Amino acid sequence: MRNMPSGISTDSVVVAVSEQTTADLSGEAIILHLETNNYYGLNAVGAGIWELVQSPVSVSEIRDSMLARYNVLPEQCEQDLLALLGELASLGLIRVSNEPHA
Amino acid sequence: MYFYRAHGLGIRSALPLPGLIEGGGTADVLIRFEKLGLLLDGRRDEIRLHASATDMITKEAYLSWPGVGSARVTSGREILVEREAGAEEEKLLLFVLGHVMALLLQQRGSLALHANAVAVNGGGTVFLGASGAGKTTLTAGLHRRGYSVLADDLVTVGVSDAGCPTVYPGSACLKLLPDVLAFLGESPESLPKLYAGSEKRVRRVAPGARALTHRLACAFVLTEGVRPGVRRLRPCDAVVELLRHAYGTQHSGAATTARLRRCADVASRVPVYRLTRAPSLSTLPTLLTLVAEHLGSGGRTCEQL
Repeated sequence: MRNMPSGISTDSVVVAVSEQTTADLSGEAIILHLETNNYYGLNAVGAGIWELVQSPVSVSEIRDSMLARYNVLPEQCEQDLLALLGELASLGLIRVSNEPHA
Repeated sequence: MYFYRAHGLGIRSALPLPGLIEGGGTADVLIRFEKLGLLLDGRRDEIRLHASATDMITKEAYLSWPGVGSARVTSGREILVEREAGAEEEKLLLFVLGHVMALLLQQRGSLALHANAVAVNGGGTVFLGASGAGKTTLTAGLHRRGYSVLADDLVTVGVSDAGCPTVYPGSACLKLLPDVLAFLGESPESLPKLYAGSEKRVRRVAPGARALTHRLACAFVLTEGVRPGVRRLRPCDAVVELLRHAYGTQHSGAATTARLRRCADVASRVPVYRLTRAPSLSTLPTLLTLVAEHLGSGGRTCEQL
């Protein structure tokens, strides 16, 4: 299990906050935080992850879904995923829960 | 009553609106005078919006400009104007064709941009920029090179039946500083002042393009830099620029979601460039040539993308 400084691990459950809105950009995505008015752009891979976090999902589930979709080493995938989620969390775009879930 | 076609709409107005294309047809919007009784306190150089973000879009909103007048904009269909006693006609016109019209367009769900537009080969090109960025100077320069001016300061972007972004003629009154006019070979003294005390002059240009709808070919975002240059923006950065120059962006809420999607749609379908201009007017010809080169390539049409 990997841990990020932001407190996200593969066991964490993440979900997009409601104070945001997203638009499709030919496969890529742009997110607008409605309270800070900050914009955040995602490439096609990031947009796929963003779609998954629209409802609560564990980081390991996202990782497995990415591994099934892209030809990438599991270590690298996890590292990139945690980095992206850490960034989204620091921008206030996702909520992270580390409660053990049933 | 006067009849005009602007921003893709038929306008029936009790107030003459020089600078708009005259024409009949069905009226989508009615502009008339009415006593509104709004208390106009506040700074004379400040236009104020009196409405909540949601009311502004869904129902009605008031705008006021102390020393000039006030307006009530309702459901994207009606503008009631009260002129303050002694207000200059020119300022009232600026108010109605600027902020008031932009609010009405937002109520109709249109994307209203702080921009200028010119017609090129049957398409429209939009120049976005903050006040003072040089939009009108560039537009006047292009006009001198034979391009038709579609709109100054307020540009509406709509959607065609095929789903492509379109632009419409708006007000074609260029507001220019005397040194720019002189540089372009015109005499500022022969042109009317924007309003008493304003340095700017009004250069009214004939609506050269008769079509009432133009496919949006491309957009330029004007910024100041060391030397003239053009660079294509990534779609994501293009969205941010479009949003930044859209009227009403400071109000969040449901309208922003719609606006974000409209901007994203435009950025996915047409190229958006960052156009850097140098501070000195003497570099204007270089800038015009740069723009003309990009326009000359036609810009890919929405259908081709």
